[in-house]
Amino acid sequence: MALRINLYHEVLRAKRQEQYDPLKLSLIGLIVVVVGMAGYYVVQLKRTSDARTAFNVQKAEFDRLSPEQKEAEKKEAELNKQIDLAEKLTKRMEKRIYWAPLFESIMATVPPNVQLTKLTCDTGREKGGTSQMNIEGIAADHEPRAVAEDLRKAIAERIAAKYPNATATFRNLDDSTEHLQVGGKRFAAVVFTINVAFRIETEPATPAAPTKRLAKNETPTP
Amino acid sequence: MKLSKDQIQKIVLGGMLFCGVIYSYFEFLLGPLSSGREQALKNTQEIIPKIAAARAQIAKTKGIEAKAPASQRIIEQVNAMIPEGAPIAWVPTRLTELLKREGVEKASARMVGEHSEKELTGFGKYGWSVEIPRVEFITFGGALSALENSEPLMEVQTLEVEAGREDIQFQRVSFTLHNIVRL
Repeated sequence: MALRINLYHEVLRAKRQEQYDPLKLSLIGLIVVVVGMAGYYVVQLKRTSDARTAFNVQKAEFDRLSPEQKEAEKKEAELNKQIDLAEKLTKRMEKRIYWAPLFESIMATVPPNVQLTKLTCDTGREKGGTSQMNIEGIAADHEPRAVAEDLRKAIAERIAAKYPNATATFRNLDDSTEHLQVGGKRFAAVVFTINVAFRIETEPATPAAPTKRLAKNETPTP
Repeated sequence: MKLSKDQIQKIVLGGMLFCGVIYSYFEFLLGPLSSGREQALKNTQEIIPKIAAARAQIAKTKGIEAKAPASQRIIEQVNAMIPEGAPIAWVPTRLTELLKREGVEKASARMVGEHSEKELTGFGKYGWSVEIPRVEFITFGGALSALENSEPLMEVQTLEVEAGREDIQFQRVSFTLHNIVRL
């Protein structure tokens, strides 16, 4: 068996030592880390740039909208004033009390043996909004009080058709000292005052326009 | 493997340099970048509701603008119903002429007061008293109806109808009314 003698072991060791040089290895490691860090930085830079771009887009939009918004706010305030004024004017016109149709309703309830002598009306706008009517008159019959009561009920019913909260009450109902002639006969008479009160606020809808003429089949004499 | 003193010095120096690089990397490169991004995201989050509010405001105003012509028309119609000049110059004439047209003669109207209108900006309210010494109730009813129909800016406030003492066919009428006028 031949004896093998390695005369290059010193050369090989030096070669191996050079191959695993720690300085060289750490340099390689450093390069890898630096490349990694640079890559991460680029990724972060891109994310930041995207976020800034998104913000700039939104800011540009806001800058564009901001003057429009201020203008819109100003215009809204003006328009609201105008709309409010128009609504109040309309409401004022719609909530008026139409007295003529109320008179027509009342006159339609007056029987021939009743004479109305005085009618006073008040919208009550300055006194809390309750409208009032006072109807004074004379009723003549065998039972004049019953006639006056029937008239009160009929008036209450008619007014309640327009104003559901309407009430009709007697302010006074007194026997008259005089006897009246109706259809050639003498009857006892009572003088009465009926008070009608109602509130316009609870009226269900816009009041119907009053008819041009009063009913002609009745001949009331207030 | 045994490191020489020179190599150990180089490794230590390299290590220190590496630490410095890492610190600088995070402190001077990544740090500002990260805070800049966070700030941008925060600003974006803050500005988004503002944009939404601005858009909503613009849309709301457009919605109101759509309603505005109707209200503008109403105001114009009301203005058209009020003649130019002082109310004392035209209201009594207008009232007496209207009553005359409806068959009510000898009516007289006079101003009884001026009232402020807090609700109606740019408008005021005048009070008028009308006296009709002799009228038939049916004729007066027709005239009142015509007045209420043709003068939406006027409202009869108080009214008194009294039967005539001498001639029962006729009544004495007095009423007050308020009239909306432009200031």
